[in-house]
Amino acid sequence: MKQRNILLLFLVGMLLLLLSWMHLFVLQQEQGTYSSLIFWEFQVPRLLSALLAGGGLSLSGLLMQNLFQNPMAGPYVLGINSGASLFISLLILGAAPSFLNELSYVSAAMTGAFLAASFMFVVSKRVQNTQSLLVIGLMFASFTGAIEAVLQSFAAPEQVKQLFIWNMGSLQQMSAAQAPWLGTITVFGMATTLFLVKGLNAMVLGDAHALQLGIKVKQLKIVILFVTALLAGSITAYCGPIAFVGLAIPNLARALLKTQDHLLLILFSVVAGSFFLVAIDVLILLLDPWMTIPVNVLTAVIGAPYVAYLMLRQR
Amino acid sequence: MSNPATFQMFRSLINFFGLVFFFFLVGCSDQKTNALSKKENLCQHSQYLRIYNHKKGFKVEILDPDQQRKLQVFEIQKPYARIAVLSATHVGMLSALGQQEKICAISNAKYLLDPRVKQLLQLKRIADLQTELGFSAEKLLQRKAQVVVYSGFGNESQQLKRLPAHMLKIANFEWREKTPLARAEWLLLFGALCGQFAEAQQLFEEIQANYIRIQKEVQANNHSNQLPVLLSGNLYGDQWIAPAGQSFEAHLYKDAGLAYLFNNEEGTGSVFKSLAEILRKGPAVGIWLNPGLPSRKAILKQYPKAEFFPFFKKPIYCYTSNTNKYWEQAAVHPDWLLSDLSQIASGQTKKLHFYALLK
Amino acid sequence: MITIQQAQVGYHTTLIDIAQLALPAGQIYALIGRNGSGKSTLLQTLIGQLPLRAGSISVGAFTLEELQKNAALRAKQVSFVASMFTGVEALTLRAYVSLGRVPHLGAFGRLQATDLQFVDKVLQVLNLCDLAQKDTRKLSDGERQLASLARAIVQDTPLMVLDEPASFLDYFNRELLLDQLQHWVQQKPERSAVFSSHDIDLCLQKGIPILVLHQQKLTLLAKPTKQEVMALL
Repeated sequence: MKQRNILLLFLVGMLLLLLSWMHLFVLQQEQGTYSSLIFWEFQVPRLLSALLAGGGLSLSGLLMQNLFQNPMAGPYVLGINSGASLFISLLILGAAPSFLNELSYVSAAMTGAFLAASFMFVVSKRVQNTQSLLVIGLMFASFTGAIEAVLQSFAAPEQVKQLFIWNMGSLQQMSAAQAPWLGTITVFGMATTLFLVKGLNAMVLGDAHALQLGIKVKQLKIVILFVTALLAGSITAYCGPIAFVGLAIPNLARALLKTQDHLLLILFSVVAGSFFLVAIDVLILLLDPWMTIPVNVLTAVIGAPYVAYLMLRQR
Repeated sequence: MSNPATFQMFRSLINFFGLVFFFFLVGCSDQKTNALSKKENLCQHSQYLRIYNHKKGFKVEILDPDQQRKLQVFEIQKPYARIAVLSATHVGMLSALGQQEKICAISNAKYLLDPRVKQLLQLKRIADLQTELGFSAEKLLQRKAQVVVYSGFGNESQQLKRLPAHMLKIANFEWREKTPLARAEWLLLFGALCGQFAEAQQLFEEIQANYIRIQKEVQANNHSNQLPVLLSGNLYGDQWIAPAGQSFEAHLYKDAGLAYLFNNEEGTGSVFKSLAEILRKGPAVGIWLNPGLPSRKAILKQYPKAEFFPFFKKPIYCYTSNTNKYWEQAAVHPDWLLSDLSQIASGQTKKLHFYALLK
Repeated sequence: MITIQQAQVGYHTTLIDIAQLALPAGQIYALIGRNGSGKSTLLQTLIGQLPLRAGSISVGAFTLEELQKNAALRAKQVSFVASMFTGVEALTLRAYVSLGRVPHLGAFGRLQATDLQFVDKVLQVLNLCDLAQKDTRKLSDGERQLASLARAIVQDTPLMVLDEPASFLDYFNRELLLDQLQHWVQQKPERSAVFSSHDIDLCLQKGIPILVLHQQKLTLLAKPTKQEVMALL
C-alpha cells in the first residue's frame, strides 16, 4: 500500500519533470527561436508560475479542507481569493502610486486572504453541512465583488482595466524579478506545513479528538490559517485568481492514495498540483496554433466537472 | 468569468469601454446585400443602414448585422426635437451636424467632449442616464424623448423593451461596419432625424472626398514595397486582442499605407493571439498602435514584462491623450483618422487629430 | 487512581457537587444516571476539556489543572472514546487506530516499528486484523466502536474515559466491548477506566462497580445490587 503510494508520487514527479522540459524547450522553441532574454523573461517565469501556483494552491486547498473538516473547502470556493482580490482593488484604487510595490501588493493580498479565511472559519462553526458553507462562500464572493464594483465606479478606466485583467488569472503576468519572491514565500509555506503533519493527521478526527491526542488545536488552526493565507494570497497576488486547483487536487490525492497521512498527502498534492497546472499550460501551448485559451478557462473545463462529481458522490 | 467580482468588472468595463469590446460580439455575416428595390438607397457604403425617399420624408431600414435581415423599418416624416442617444459616437454625429440642441438625454456624461453638449448638460437641458446600475430607462421616460438611438451592444436593448411603443427606438450598428466610410455614413440617419438631411449629405460628401484624397496621396507617395509593419492592440490577461483582417481598423491601416500584422486574419471583429505568437512576430513590428494606455509607464504598470516586447522601443501611438475625442469624433471623421495614420506611417507627424506618440 | 475533593462540576452553574471520592486503579467504573443528570459533563471534566468550577480532581500523579495546561502530558495520561465515530474518507481502520500513537510521536508524525508492532498486537487482540485496510466509513457500527477502543488502547494511558461507548451496539458487541475493557484494565496495575452507560443489568452481571449520578450527587457502589442502584436514582 505504502510502496504503491510512493511509486505513484515518484511517477507523477517524473511526469512533472518531463512536462516541464516540454514546456520550456520543446513546445515554445518549436514555434520559433527566441533570444535568451525572452527565454528568461517570459518562458521561465511562466513555467515557474505554473509550478508554484499549482503546488501552492493545492496545498492551501488541502490545509483548508483539514481546517474546515470539509472536503469541499478550497481557496477559491470559500472566497479566499475574493478577499485577496478586494484588498488588491483597495490598494490599486486607493493607494498612492509610489506605494505600489512588491511588498505592498503581496501583503495586501495576504491580509485580504487571511481576513477572508478567518471570517469563513468563524462562520463555518455555525453551519453544519457542506452545501451551506459553499453557499456562504459564494455570498462572500459576491459581497466583495459588489464592493469592488462600487469602488470601480470611482476609479479611472485604466485602473479598472488593470483590475479586470488581473481578475482573469494568468500564468504569464509574473516577471522574472518577481519569481524569487513568490518562490521564497511558497517554499516557506510548504516547509512550514511539513512541521504540521502530526497535527493535521490528528485533526481528521475532529477538534475534540485532536485535543485529546495532545494537539494544540487552537495554535495549529491559527498556523493553518496563516499558511493558507500566505500561499493563496501571494499566488493570487501574482497570478490572479486561479480556480479549482485547490479544491480538486487534494480530493484527487485522497482518492488515489487512499490515505489520510498528511505527509504523503502534502507531497502528492504539491507535486500533482504543479503537474496539473503545468499540464494545462502545456495543453494551452499545444492548442496555440488553433486558439488562444486563458488558463482559467481550462482549469474550469477540467476542474468543475470533477468537483461536481465529488459533490454528487458526497450525498 | 466564474468569479462574481470578475463578472462585476466585466460589466463595468462594458459600460466604460462599450465600443472597445464590440469584438466580443462579432458574428459572421456575408457580404452580399439585397438587390435594391425600385427606390434608390441613399446610403452607398453602409451594410446595415438603408435610407429611401418616401412621401415627404424618409423610410429607414436597419439590418441586423448578425442575421442580415431587417431589424427595424420606420418612416421619418417630420424632424424630431427630443432625441436621446446612448453612445458618445452618436453625440459626435449630432454635434458634427450642429444639432446639439436636439439631444435630450445621453448615456454617460463622464465621457463627453463637445463643449456645447457639456453646457446644455449643466443647464439640465440634457439628462445623464447613467446610474450605478447602468442606464436608466426611467429617466429616459421622464425626459419625454421622442427617439432613442442605441448602439445595440450588451443588454441595452433589454432595458429598451420596457419603453412605450410610440417612442422610436433605433439601433445604431455603425460600429459593426466594415469600412470607415460606412461608419461615417450613419451621419445621414441623424440628418434625417433632425431635418438636416441635405446638410448631412453634404458633410458626408466632404468627409468622403477628403478620405479619398488622402488615400490617393498615400498611394502616390508609396514608391517602395517596404511598408512599415504595424501591430495593434494589447495583452489582456493571456490574450493579445487586436482588430481582425477585415475590420474597419484593418481597412484604415491599409489605406494609410501600413502593413498590418494581422491583415490576413479572417473576420471583421477581433483576433485573439497568444503572447508566444506576438513575441515570435514581434521583431518585424515597426509601430505599435492602440495599447489602450496613455504612456509607456502605464503600459509597464499594467504589464511589467512589456519592456521586453521587441517593439516596446519602437514608436507607440494611441488615442489615449484624448480618449473622449476619439470616441466622439473618430467614427464621424474617418478622414481625420486616416490623416493621422498616414502621418504615423510616413514617420513624420505634423498635426495629429486623435493620436499621440507615447512617452 | 482518581481522587476527587470538594469538586464542583458544570459549565455555567454547578451541575455536580462531589465532597470526596476516590476511585482506586485496576477497575473499570460504570457511570449511571438519568438523561440530563450531567454524565457527559462529568466525563468532559475528567478528560480535561472542561475546567472545574471549584475543588480538585487528580488523575494518577497529576491534577486536572496540570493536565489542562499541558496537552501533550494529558494525551499521555487520559484517552477518550466517544459514543460514535462515523468514519473518515480514505482513513483505514489501521491508520485510525495508529492515530492513538500520536502523543508518542515526533514532529513529523512518523510511526516507528515499535509503534506499528503495538498497533498490530492490539488489532490482533481485538480480532480486527482482517479489517485493518478497510475504509473507516465502510465499517459497521460495532467494528468502528471496537476500532475506537483499539485507538484508545494504543494511546497507552493510565486512564481511559468512554462516553456511552455501547449506545449504538447490539447485545453481543456490548458484552465484547466490556470484556475487552476489563481485560485491558487488568494488564497493568495503574490502569482504570470510566464509562457512562444506561445498561445497568449488563454492568451488574459483569460485577462492575457503579457510579450513580443523581441530583448533583455522585455515589460509588462497589458491589451493588439492582435495588441499591435503583434506590439512588
